[in-house]
Amino acid sequence: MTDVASRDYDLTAKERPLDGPSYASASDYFALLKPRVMSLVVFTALVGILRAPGDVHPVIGFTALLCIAIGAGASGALNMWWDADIDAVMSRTKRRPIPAGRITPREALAFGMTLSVGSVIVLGLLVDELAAALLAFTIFFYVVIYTMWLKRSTPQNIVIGGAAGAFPPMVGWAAASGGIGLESVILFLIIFFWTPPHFWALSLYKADDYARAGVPMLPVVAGPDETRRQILLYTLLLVPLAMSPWFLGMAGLAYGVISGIAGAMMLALAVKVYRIREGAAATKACKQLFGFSILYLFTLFAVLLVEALHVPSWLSGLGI
Amino acid sequence: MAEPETQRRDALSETKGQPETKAGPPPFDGVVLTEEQRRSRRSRSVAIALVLGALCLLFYVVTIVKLGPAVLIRPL
Repeated sequence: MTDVASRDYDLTAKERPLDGPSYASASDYFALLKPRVMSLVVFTALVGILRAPGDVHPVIGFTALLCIAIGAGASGALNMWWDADIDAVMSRTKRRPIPAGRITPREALAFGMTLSVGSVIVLGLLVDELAAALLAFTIFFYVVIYTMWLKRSTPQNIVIGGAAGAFPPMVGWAAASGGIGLESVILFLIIFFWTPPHFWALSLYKADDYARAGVPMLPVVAGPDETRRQILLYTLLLVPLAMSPWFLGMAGLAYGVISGIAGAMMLALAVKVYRIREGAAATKACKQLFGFSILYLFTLFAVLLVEALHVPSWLSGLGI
Repeated sequence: MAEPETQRRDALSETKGQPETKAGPPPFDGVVLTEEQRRSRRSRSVAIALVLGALCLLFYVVTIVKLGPAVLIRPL
């Protein structure tokens, strides 16, 4: 693999000596944590914590959430360190701190490693060893398996790599209960099967970017038609899976109804992407699916969260 | 390529009128940070201080929570 630290970075980085005093501000380091990704991780982990059996003390729950958030942010920083060359040529990522020259790769590596080790140790010491082990595995999986290996070598990169993003609710569940339950596995599977249609919808209208960066995303390698077919297949698997907490009696009727309606909308958008293949309408369909997929996952977990927090008596009286 | 903004300052260049020594390089008087570097360093220092303070508080509170109310029941 290429030595990232020795790569030549363009833009303002050329004006700044890599080994001189740092120009990085606290906000640049914060940007390394990929705060938007981190917020989704925190949210899904919170659902895992609150739906786990038994009562977890709020302080312990907060500590677990903090460690999971920092661990997720750390893996984001390590991902940016390794992928700085790709980020520099992609329109979506070229303003990130390393390609923009605000942080050196060495600083990002040190920051990511420190937070990775710190978050795992603190989670293990203060909350639960199993949760810490799962968090360590998640960071390892995202950085080594996905970022360093799969991302540049196979079009199935985000299918397998999607597991890294699916672990947080399981880590949260383990932090609260000390174990791994069936429901936490289902939460994992929902995110796992949600990831391919989500990212492939994005990669369909960003295919040129990925091709220029040399990333073998499915539309680049297998073409847009095959990508559309696989988006539809994964969505067909995802929708019933997302409803399974209700089938299995783990969630109420409200979840069943909402996940059914949202799933039907997700499926309709996937069919639209499959059918409309050319022109601005095709791009619009992909953007709609990408945008709605985020709302879809958020809605599913939000309903699970609300059910875990409080079920109104008039609803529980109705068996909801 | 632009010149690096960071400058090195040597003591002799600032003391006009004094004879330069012939042997050896001028004494190194440290690195002078640019205003941008100074601001960045300050923001990093403040962030590190806040994080360390928060960690101390977190460890203290978690310790109290883990000890539980039984810690108050002890012979005086």
